[in-house]
Amino acid sequence: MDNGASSYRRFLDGDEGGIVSIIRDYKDGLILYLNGFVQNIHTAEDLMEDTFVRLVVKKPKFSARYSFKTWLYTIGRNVAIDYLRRNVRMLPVSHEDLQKVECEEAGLEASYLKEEQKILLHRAMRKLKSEYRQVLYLSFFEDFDNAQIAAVMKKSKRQVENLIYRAKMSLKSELDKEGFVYERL
Amino acid sequence: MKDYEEVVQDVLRRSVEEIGRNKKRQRMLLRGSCMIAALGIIIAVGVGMRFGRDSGGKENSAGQFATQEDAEILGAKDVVEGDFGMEGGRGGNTDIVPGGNPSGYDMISDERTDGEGKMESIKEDLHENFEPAQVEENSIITMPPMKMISSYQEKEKAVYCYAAPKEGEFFCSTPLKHAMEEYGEEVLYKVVVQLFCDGSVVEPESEEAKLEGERLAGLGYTVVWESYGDGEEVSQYIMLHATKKQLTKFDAGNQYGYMFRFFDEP
Repeated sequence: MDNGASSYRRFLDGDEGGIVSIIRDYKDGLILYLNGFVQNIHTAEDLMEDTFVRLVVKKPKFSARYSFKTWLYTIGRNVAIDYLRRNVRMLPVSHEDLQKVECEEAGLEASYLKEEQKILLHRAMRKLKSEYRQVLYLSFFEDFDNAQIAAVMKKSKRQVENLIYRAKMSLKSELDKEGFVYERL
Repeated sequence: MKDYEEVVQDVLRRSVEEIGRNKKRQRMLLRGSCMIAALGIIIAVGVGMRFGRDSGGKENSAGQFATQEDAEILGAKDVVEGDFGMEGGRGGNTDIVPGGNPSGYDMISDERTDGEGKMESIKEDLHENFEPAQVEENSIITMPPMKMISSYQEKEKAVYCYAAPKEGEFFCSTPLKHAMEEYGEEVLYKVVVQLFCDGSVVEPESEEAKLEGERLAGLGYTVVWESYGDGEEVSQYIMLHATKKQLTKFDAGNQYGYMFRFFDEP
């Protein structure tokens, strides 16, 4: 059992502190992951809250098949997909709002990803298509293995391997355009 | 961007609102389904009564009844009057006396005798037809009993240890909590109430326990005293038949701490 699982167990037993710990530990990573779907850090923040509200209200059962983080990200993904189904058309964002959003995203990147190289990589990933962004985010920044990614994205391991390969190729070409060095990829 | 404390507050506030909305929705749904069920029962009763009348009318039109009296019982007077007009004006008509019966009266009286037999069977039919309808009418008033949960099988076997509750405090055992999560408000939970005072168990047979049981009964809880044992060693237990709400919003007295658990918990 990792900390998330034990905190969740505490929460189910009536200790509100359990959910507080979960929010503290996972909120930033979840926002960046959900941002891969919606490309708007504010919306991603709302979706992060929706994910935790779903956890508190529905109290879904956690089976220890995968880690708590994998399970939480799966719920987050479902929340994001529900959101995208309801809001197919993108809302227009003003230039000022866009700057504000980018600024806040940069702040979150700095606090969560910390390393400069990771931050640059994360920014380069913005240009990729949504599925590539998600798979690379889980692989590079959350250190999920292929089985965990497959569980979150509801794909087979083989599909995930292919997806990662294509995503890396796409990222490589983006980095080439920017003149990045990418030998670590 | 919100800091994590703001996020926590937002999440908890929204969760409380969402839970409130869900409960309201469930109550509305329950109310709606109760109304539909009641309406369905009323319609079923109505159709049943109508059907009973119709089948009575069909028998009349087939001229099965020997007497007008029988027909009146079933409310099919008009039909029968036509059939039995002979009593008023055509009595003794040979048309209705097959086999050359000279008077015809005997024949009518025979008919009447048969009719009396039929009368009995009709009364039985009526009784059979209308009895269930009355029962169904009553069932609208009487709510079906709630399902009772008296034990819970944990997926993973575990023995839990608990600290004795302080005076004025109460808690539910972990299996009971799990059962309440699974079954919710729709069932009754049959639980053992263990009373604690100064960290020690108050014997259920004691006078204090009895008084506390009476206090709880006075507050509207269903308190049952049950004895279990092999004949030689019999123990008494205070049992509550309570809903989830009654257990989670328990009206604890200041004198005792309370623990609720299923009887068969290890």
